[in-house]
Amino acid sequence: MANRKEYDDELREINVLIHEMGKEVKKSIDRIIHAFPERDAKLANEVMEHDGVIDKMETDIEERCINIVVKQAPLATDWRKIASYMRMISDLERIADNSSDISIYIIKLSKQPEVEVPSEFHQLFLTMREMVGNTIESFFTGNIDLAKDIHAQDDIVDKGFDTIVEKISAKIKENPENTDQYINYLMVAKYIERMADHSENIASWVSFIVKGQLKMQYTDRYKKDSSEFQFYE
Amino acid sequence: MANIIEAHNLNLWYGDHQALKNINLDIQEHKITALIGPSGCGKSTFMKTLNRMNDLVDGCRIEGDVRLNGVDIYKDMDVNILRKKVGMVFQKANPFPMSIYDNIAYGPRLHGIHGKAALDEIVERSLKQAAIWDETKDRLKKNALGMSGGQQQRLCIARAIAVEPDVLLMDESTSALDPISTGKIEELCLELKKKYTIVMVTHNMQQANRISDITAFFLLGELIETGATQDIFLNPQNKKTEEYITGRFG
Repeated sequence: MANRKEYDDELREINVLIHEMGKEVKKSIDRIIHAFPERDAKLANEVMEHDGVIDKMETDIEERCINIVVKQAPLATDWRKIASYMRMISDLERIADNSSDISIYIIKLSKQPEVEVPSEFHQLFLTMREMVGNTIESFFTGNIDLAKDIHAQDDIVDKGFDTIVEKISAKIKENPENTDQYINYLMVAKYIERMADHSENIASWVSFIVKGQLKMQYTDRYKKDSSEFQFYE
Repeated sequence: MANIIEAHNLNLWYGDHQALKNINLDIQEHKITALIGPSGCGKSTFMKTLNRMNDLVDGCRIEGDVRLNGVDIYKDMDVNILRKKVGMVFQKANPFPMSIYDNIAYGPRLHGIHGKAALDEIVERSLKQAAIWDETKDRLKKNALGMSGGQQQRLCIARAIAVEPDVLLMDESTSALDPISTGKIEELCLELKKKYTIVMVTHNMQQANRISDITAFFLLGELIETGATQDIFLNPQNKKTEEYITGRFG
């Protein structure tokens, strides 16, 4: 089947470029995981400086996808790939941005007195990193089984975040003089949670490519405790 | 949605060559059904069974049945009545070498309508339905051959609907037209399906995707896959369908 070799080569190239982009995103995540416990401002700065590289990769891949849409009018699996690629690179770029956002807070924390940090951060980081890693591999290999635990993992991250919020809230009450630091840690936790959400989106797009059905995972967190939101009804 | 045409176990031979193999396909009323497939796959042959145009081919033999509104078109229906109910528009526009008015009035006259008022009404209605009234109302007596290709094709559509068919068959009707004329006819089809049922053969996957409701993929005389157009073009179930619509064979 030699038809459309050039087109197939273009699609394969985009697939490889997204994989490369994913590797760069994972590097940023690894750097912030190392920088966080030590409040390493130097390493955090490297993450921020690296963000431009990932932004450029997103723009390049996006242009290639747009060209394919215009030139080839893709259908079926080709269309599902292109549509998914364009959404996935946006999620990857947001994960990278969130890594930079965390870096900003690491740098702020490095200039502040040290405080006790909820132990849940470690598991939160590791779970998020595993989610991102698995979804990127799942995308590159087309093996959706690699991301089969993604929703359960996202629940772990969500619960971990909720626990951190409770603990930090208590700590602020106990030690109000450290409020600034605790708010910074809260922001870090929030960004990790967002990164996990973006990773879950990527898994949904991979499933769309492979299975042809789109099932975005909309959080039902807000339904769990509706009493807080009654004034919206 | 009700089926207006039903083909059951339809087999067709041109001499010894079997061009259609056990086709089972229903055409839904007030929908646009696109027939796609590579050259020689049987899609045009299938479409021409719907108004018995294949009767005109020497050596053509059919087994199975095709029903229009439940009536067997090969056993229980007069072929002239059938061709009134199932009109056809061809790839190359073929207006008669006569005036625009007479092109439209030809079919109704053939079916016994001769009064001027009645024919005037039919001509105006048909040209309006085919979205070509404004371009022709001041030149109805002019020869149709003086029209542009796109106009001629819309005239042919008007001519087909002048006899108030149930179904319109369109055999690659826009393949010879420029993009603007094609666009006009596609818009026309979307409007016409409110009143008629349309079956179209097309090689243009984007066109099938744009305007059809149901798509049926033929290959080597067989019906490989049929379904909602969105499903066929986004997530075809059969690998051959995927390969064809993505241009990887054919």
